[in-house]
Amino acid sequence: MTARLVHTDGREVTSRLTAEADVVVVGSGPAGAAVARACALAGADVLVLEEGHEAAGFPASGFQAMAALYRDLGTSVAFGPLVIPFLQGRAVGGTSVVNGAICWNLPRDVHEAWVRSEPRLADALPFEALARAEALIEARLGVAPTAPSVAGPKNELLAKGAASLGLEHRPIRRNVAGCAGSGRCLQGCPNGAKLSMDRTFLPDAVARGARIVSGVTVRRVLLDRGRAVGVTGRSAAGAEVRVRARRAVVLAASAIQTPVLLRESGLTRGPVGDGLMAHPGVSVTGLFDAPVNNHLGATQGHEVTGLRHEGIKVEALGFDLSILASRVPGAGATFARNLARLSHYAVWGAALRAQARGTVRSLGGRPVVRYALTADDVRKARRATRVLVDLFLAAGAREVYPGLPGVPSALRDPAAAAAVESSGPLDARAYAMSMTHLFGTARMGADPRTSVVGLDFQHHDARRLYVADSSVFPSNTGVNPQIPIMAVAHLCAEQLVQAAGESTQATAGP
Amino acid sequence: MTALVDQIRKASTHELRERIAGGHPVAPGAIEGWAYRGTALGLPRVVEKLTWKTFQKTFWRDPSTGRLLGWNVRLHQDGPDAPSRPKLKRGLPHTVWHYEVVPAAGVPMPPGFDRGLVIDYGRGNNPPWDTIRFARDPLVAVERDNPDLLLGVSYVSLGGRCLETPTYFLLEREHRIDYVPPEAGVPGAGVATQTGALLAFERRWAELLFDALLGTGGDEGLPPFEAIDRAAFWQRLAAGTPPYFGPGLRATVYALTFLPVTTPGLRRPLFALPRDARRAFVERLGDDERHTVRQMLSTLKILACFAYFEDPQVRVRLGTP
Repeated sequence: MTARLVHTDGREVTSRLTAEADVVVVGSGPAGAAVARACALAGADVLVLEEGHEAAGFPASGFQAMAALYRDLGTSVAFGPLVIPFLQGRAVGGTSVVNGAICWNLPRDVHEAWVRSEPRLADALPFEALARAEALIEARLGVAPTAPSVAGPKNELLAKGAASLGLEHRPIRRNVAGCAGSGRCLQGCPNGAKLSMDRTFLPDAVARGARIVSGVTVRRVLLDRGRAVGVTGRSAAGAEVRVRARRAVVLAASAIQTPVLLRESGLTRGPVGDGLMAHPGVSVTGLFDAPVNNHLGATQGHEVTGLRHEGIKVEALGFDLSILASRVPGAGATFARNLARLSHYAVWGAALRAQARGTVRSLGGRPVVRYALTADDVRKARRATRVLVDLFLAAGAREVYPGLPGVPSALRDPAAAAAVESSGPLDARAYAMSMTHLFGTARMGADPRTSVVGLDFQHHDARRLYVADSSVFPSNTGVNPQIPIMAVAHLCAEQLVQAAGESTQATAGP
Repeated sequence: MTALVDQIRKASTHELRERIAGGHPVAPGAIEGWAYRGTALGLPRVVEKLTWKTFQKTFWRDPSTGRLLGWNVRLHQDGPDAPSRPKLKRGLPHTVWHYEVVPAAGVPMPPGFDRGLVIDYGRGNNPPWDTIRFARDPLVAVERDNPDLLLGVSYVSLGGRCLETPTYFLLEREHRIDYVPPEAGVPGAGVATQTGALLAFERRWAELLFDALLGTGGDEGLPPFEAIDRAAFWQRLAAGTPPYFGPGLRATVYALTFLPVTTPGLRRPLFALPRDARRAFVERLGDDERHTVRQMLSTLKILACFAYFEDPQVRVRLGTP
């Protein structure tokens, strides 16, 4: 599958490794892969450093997938009144290996809000340029709506519920080719049908000479007289790794790891690590008379888009049996009885465009994330929970389990669902949330007091140090950000190539 | 036994030290997956009589972290040339002294020992009170490009100082590893995680909570939690979680284990209750409106489900393709 992708495996690097390249990219997820590919196509000598490893085989369970492909075994959390877990992939290909393959373009209203917050972004990140890049990226990733043949009952039921409530909905556009509806995108793909970075952009980059070094944790950016000249880190086998960058260092390590790297490199001026935005999510479980087999069919094949103006986007959720089981109501003997009919349960979720802004700090090189929902965010969570209950009931669920204290544990009629919104809790701690899509911890802007990187993606205090991931986003997007992240990274690569005196022509082609 | 092995067995500590200092680097990939038979060298015969002359060392790549780990296997002392016969504990090979194997470069050690790899017991899954955590064993190949015969020596690393010992040992390649103990998983994130991982009795408490939460083993036809193999689950959990996870899990396990003490009619910790009472207590807890209790319970429920669904039979029974 991807056996020839990695040039050097850090697990085998037992003595000091030194290397050099024109462009050193830290991180091989969507942002890093987009930069690596664009720079390699432009003729630059590119070296990508990735902390994770190549996916080897398909993990048999969700837990094994988390051990092999997720950072911290999926137990990373943001601390606050409510401890919220957040998931990040850690593999060659980054989170694209384990995400739901959902593709959205950057909504124009989100871009307009960005420009209102920083007018010069109109020129630095023009909407039309982003849209052009998104189109090229989508073409390479084969993005298309989920085919009805692989949707499966959980997605069909969500469509039925949304239609019944008159909510705008649609099959999710995904980056897959030959999807068999195996329902396990979050473990990778058993059929190799997901067109994640390790199957697309990274092989493209490697074909043009880029080198990928996996199993290396980058600790610091090396600086010399205000310029980035390389990075240093450690291999999985414990050896020192030092890579010299002839032209640029690009950080694409995520909105959590990038600010940690900046701070560990002594680049602490400005709001580095501040302004963390995200899409916290709530989910609700429903029980149907007929089997749903939630673990089968496209993992996330259908979405309700009609509430995006409220900052709520509903998606069908598919995951491993173990995770589905953990969402089945009850404990003890009640849970065991419910577990025996596991195939009848479905879980749907709502991603919230939260207003909360958190922080990322470094403690010995490890991120410490703080994040507290605003009162408005909690109201949104309550509203989303009610919508999910409504959708389940409209789809014909026998019972729905909102999982909120002070609300009946099992709801059976719409009147009871309305009570979720009217009298449900407004204490964040009442909600079991998880968080995806992280943004804004190294914002782009002209003013070093309010931003971390300039309008050319270079750090205000370190020339030749670029940040290409969602850290530079001025806000969250309210939609799944893989494609916008790649588009922004593509523009970053164009800037970099231009600054390095290379032709940008080659970066335009898929 | 080759002449070289015989020569090394008879060598003085001075000669052994010279062989270590002049030894050859060992490629981790060459020893990975193998068990080596060890022979203690350089110790007075009386010490060997009181302890052991032969033992096994293993080198195993943890698939979840990529780290090269290992452990000692206790052997019956049948003589230096008798076949290895592992001592058994509860029917399984008796393993002790877990370690991680790392490059010597950068590890503080006595002069001349930094030729190859280092067996670092401080990075192994050993109890916090075990003094073996201060021991380090530099390891070299006796001959260039020959990973079949290795020579090691122990020193003590304490507060930044390195104290040499006369404990040398010879390792001869023996067979592929055929048993990986549950304790083998070494925390991937260094000391903080190691000290945070649950101890054996705490894991037992956690498992009692898992069993009570799952409630399986009754009419529903699902196997009880205790019937499934949990070793790999605990191994992966200890290896992959961040430093703050262990203390958080420990606090959760203690809180829910001792919560029944404050409950009228129970007044005992969870582990002292009969199984039915444990399950009934946890089932009632499911309706608890205290946020902390709810969050602790949902965390344990997720972990219980992860552990339970690692069993292939459970997955087949509940529908995984």
